[in-house]
Amino acid sequence: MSNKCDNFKDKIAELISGTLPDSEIKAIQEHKQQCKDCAEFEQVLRAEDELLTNLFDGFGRDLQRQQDEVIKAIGCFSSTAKDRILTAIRTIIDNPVVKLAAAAAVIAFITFNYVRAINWLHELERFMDTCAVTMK
Amino acid sequence: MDERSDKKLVTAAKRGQKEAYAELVKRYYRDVFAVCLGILGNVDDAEDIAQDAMLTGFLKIRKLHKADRFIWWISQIARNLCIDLLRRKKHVKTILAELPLQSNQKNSQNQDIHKSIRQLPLELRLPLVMYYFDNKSTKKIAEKFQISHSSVCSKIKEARKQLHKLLTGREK
Repeated sequence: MSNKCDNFKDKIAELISGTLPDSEIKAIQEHKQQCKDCAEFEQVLRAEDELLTNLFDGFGRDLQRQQDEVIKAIGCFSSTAKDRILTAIRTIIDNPVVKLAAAAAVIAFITFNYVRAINWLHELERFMDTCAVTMK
Repeated sequence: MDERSDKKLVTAAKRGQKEAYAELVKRYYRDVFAVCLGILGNVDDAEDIAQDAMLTGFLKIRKLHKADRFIWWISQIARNLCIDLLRRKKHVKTILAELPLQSNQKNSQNQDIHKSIRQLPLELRLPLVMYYFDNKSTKKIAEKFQISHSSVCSKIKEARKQLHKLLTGREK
């Protein structure tokens, strides 16, 4: 088996998977006409592809029943009172208006406390000045 | 409900809407099953783990932060459960050899091909199974699992060649 055939067999595997660029298909067709081994290889790979397709189709037929079982099982999970409260809280928290209101409240809280802290510092400063005058 | 995006369904499921999660199951059960079959190489185990993964996903959905990455997240859960199962069955090869034949393997051709699929290394078996489960679309596999398209193509090509070798008992 030549290296050239090895290369063509790689390409044949890609051709069957549908991943070979169109520009390379013609070269394979031409080679197959001259090389019996590669032509046979393609036939065998196509047969294997068909077998795999049928095999996986068979597996796939039962999937509906399986997924129905999962959905049925999900329905059996009963929500506890705690779950319901948490769900309600999450729904409220997820609301964008609530998020904006919460952000505004945080900003207002920080601003209010900042102003209070500044005022307190000014008062402290005045107290210190008074103390200094008294000491003198 | 069909028109809702994954993100909306995940958000609704996080709020406890079971119908929303059921819709996600309908959309992705097939993919999850394919991942399990690809890793485990056994239909019965794949069914058990795929169902288990979907139920685990339902219980843990609130931990999913990126709501648009549901398929990636649920596949990771499935993958971890598969690995746990494989760990429990320490001598995987021995066990696989002893497994009874599947009910839907009606002829010897199917038996041979199924046995050969199981013999493929995991890194080749998984993309091959995904390929046949995803209507032979390599692009969809690459998109779903966020891997490069060329990598998917090359793995499927290699899997096909190795499978042929296993089936015919010769190189290429």
